[in-house]
Amino acid sequence: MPMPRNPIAYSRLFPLIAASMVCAGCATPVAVRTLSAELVKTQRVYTVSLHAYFGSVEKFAEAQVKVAEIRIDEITAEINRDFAQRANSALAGAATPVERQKIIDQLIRAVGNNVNTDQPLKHKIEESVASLKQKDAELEAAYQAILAASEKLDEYIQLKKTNELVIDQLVQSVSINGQKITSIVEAITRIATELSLTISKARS
Amino acid sequence: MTIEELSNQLSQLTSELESAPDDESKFELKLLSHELEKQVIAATFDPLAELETLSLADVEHLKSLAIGVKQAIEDDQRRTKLVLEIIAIARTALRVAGVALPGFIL
Repeated sequence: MPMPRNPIAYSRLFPLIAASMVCAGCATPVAVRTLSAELVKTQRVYTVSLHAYFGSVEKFAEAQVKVAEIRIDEITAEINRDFAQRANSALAGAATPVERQKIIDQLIRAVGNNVNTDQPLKHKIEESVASLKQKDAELEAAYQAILAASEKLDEYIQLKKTNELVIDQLVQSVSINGQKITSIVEAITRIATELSLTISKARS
Repeated sequence: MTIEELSNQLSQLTSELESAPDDESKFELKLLSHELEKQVIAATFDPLAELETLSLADVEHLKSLAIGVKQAIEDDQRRTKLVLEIIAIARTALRVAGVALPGFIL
């Protein structure tokens, strides 16, 4: 015998379905949403910190380059003074203009070579710092990509999924809220018992 | 022996020879000591040059996966729109059928 299509039965069935969905639906828990949002927020702040940190390290490295170059120049000047001192001593003993010219030429060559050897060293130092800056930029870019991925994931987590939206609609329809969940569960039990009895009566 | 150790030994030897009479070998030794000092200064930056070999995490994979998530978001938005339309139709149908639903503004 088919059950009569009673509007009252429908009106009881509807909140039952709604409440069941609230209980069994796969809504993203608030804790997950909150953590995800906080993670993205923290990563955004961290990006700024990372940028500032790299900036400071790079400035420090640049300062160290200057210090190193100054010291190299000082040593070079010291060596040049030694060359000049040696040339002076040699000039004192030079008997002919040719010998004197030879000493002067040797001095010019020695000083020139001395200065020229500094360039590869300075270049090597500058390249090292450039390498640091390059790696910093790569790290920052990589972290930006990580942040972008987190943001996209968070966007999905914060998104009201279809099932959640349906639940919201139904919950709105039966005018319930989170605080009423307990009473709804009690109502479900009661209605389920009632339905069970109705079905049993209909069968007998 | 590192460049720094060698430089230190040469500096020490140069200091010890300070009182000795000037000659070409003393001059060459002093020169070598200075040259080594410059090398030591330049070598302090070597750790930075090693950064070139430092490998970073591959983030390209994340980029492609993020595209998948973007697609999932769009799919869900479309699905939601469809479900909302179905609910609206169902409400209208129930109203037409005369079914009273608590809380519904029909």
